[in-house]
Amino acid sequence: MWDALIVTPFINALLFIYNLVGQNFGIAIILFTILIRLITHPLMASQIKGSKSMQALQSDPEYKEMMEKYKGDREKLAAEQMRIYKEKNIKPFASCLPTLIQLPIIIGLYQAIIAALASTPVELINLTRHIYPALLKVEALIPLNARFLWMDLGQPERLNLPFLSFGIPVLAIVVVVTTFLQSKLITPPSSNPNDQGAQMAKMMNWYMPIFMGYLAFTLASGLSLYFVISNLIGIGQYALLGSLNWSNLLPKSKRPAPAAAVAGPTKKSDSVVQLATSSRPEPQKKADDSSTNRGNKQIRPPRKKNRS
Amino acid sequence: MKQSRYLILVLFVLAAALLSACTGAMTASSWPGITPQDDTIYVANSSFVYALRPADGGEIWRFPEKAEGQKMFYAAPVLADGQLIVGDYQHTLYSLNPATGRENWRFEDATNRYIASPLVVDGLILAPNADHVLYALDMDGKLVWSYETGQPLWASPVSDGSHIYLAGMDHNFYALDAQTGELVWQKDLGAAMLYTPTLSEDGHLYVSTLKNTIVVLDANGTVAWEWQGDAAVWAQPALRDGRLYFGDQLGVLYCVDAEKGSVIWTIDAGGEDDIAAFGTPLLLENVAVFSMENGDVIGVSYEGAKQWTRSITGTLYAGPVLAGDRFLVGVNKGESLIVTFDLNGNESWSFKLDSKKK
Repeated sequence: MWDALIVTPFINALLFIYNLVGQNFGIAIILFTILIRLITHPLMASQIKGSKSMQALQSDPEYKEMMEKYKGDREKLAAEQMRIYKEKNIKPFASCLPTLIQLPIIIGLYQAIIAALASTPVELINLTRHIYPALLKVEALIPLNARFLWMDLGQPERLNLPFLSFGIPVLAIVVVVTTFLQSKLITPPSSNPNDQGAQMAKMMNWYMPIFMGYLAFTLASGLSLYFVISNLIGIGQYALLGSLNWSNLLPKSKRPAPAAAVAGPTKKSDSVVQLATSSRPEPQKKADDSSTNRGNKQIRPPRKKNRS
Repeated sequence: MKQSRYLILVLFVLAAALLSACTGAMTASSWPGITPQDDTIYVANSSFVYALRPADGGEIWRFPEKAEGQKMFYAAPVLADGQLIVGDYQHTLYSLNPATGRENWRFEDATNRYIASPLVVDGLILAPNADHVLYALDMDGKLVWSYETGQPLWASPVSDGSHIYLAGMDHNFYALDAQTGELVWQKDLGAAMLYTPTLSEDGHLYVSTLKNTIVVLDANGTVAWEWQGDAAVWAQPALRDGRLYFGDQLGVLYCVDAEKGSVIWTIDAGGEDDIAAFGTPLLLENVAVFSMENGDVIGVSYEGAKQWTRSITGTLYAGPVLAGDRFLVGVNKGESLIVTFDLNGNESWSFKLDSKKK
C-alpha cells in the first residue's frame, strides 16, 4: 500500500526526470527534491504561519494574564484558551497538521532515492519491479548513471586529492554546515532563553547537524545530496515567508549586569561567586521581572537572618 | 534538564544506528555465494566467508573471525592453485588459505564492490568490480593489467583460453586478449548484462540481457540469434545437449533450442502470482532443478514435465549448486542460510546462521 501509493510513483517521477535531464542522477535528485518541496510549500507556509501565530500569542498580555489567572483550574484554563483562539482566529493545530502531511512525503522521497540508487542485484530486482513499463524502459535506464561531479552517488562521498593520503568528506561537511544554518535560522527567538523549550532547541541545533553529518559520512552520497538540497530549500522557504531569524547567527552581545539579582547568572560558577560575595539583602524585584526571569529565582542569595 | 539532554543524545545515537542500518552502504544485501569442493563447501554471506563440511554442514572456519564493520561478502569464492579468492562489498579482494581461512594477501586497488566472482585462468585472476574495471592479477595479488568499461561489472568473465569474454552493464559485450587485456572486439547488445555468459564447446556465447533477451554470439562477436522473452531473465542460461534452460521474472521456465533459438517447451511455474524464477537451473542426470522466489525448488524432466516440488522457508534468488551427491540452495530471509537435498530432491542438512563452529 505504502509502496504503491508513495514510493513507486516517486521512483518513477525521479527516474522520469533522470531521463529528461540526460540521465544525470545528481541533477534528477536536485530537481525532484525542489519539485516535491514546491508541491508541499503551501503546507509548509501554513505550518510556519500557524506556529508564528501561536508564538505571538505566548507574549500576548491578555493570554498571559489568563494563563496566570486560571493556572490552578485546568478545565477553565482550557475553555479560556479555546475562547482566545476563537477570538483571535488562531487554529492551534495549524502548525502540526501540515507537518504530519509532509512527513510521509519526505519519507517517501528519501525511500525513492535509496531504491533508485540500487547497487546490489537484489536492490536492482526490486527497483525494476517499481518501474511503470508504460512510462519508462528498464533497458534504457539500467544501469543508472550514478556519477555526479566527483561523486559516485551510490557510495559514501570522499574527495581524494593527490597530496592527501585520505579522502575529504566534503558533502558530509556541507551537510553539517547547512543543517546547522537551517536549525539556527528557523529557530524562533525565545522570550526567555533560560526556559526548558529554548534549552532543548539550543541542544537540537547542535545535535542535529552532527547526526546528519554522521549519516552523510556513512550513507550513499545521493542521500547526502538530498540532505543538502533539502536544507537549502528549507532555508529558502523560510526566507520567502520572512521567517528567518538572522539574529541567531550573530554573536550574542553580553548584557551589562546592573544588579546581580536582575541579570541572572548563566553559569553555575557565576552563581557560586554571586552567593559568596553577596553581603547585602537583594533589592526587591519588580513584578514584571519575575515573568521574564524565572530562572533567576533559584539562584537568588538566601535571605540573611536579622541578628540585630 | 540534564536527563532530557542525555535522553535526546541517546535517541540521536539510536536513530543514527537505525538509519545507517536501514539504508545505503551498510545494508548491502545479496544472496549467499556458494562454492562446493570435494571436502569443503565455501560460502560467502554477509560478514563472513564460511568453510563447511559437506557431510553435515559443520563449520570448519570463518573469515574474518569477528564481523568487521561494513565488510560484507556475497560473491562466491573461487578455489585455484591452493588459494581461495574472494572479494568483498567494499573494495578488497582476498586470497585465503582454503584449509585454515588465514589471509595470504589482499588487493585493494579497486574502489567499489566485488559483486561477481573472479575467474582464474592460466595463473591469472580476473576480478570484475563495480568500479567498471576488470582487474587481472597474478597469483601473488600483483596487478598485471586492467580493463575499464563504461559501467559497473556484475558478471564473472568466461574464457576459452585465448580470449576473455566479459558481459558489461554498459550494454557492451567485450572480448579481451587473455594475456594483455587488450580489446579484441566489443558488441553493443542494447541492454545491461548482469549475469555470466555461458560458453559452449563450439565457442558460442549465450547471455541474458535486461531487454528480456537471450543473445547468442559467436567467437567473433557476430549475433547468431536473439530470443525475445516477455520478462527479464535474471540468470545465466544453462546449456545441455544443445538445449538452453532458464526461467524468467514471471516464473515461466523455458527450454530453448541452442542452435535455432526456438522454444521447445515452457512451464508456467510462477502461476497467477507470477512468482519469479531466479538463478541458473541445475542440470542433473534426469531433471533440471529450478529455484523460485517463493522458496519452491522444482525438478523438471528434460521433456518438460514437473517431477517434484520442495518448499523452503525464505526467498531464493540463486539457482541450486551441485556438491557431490547432493545439491545446495542458498536462501535469503529464511530459517536456514543453506538447505541441501539429495539428487532425488529429499532434504538433507541445513546450515543456519547461528550455527556454531564444530
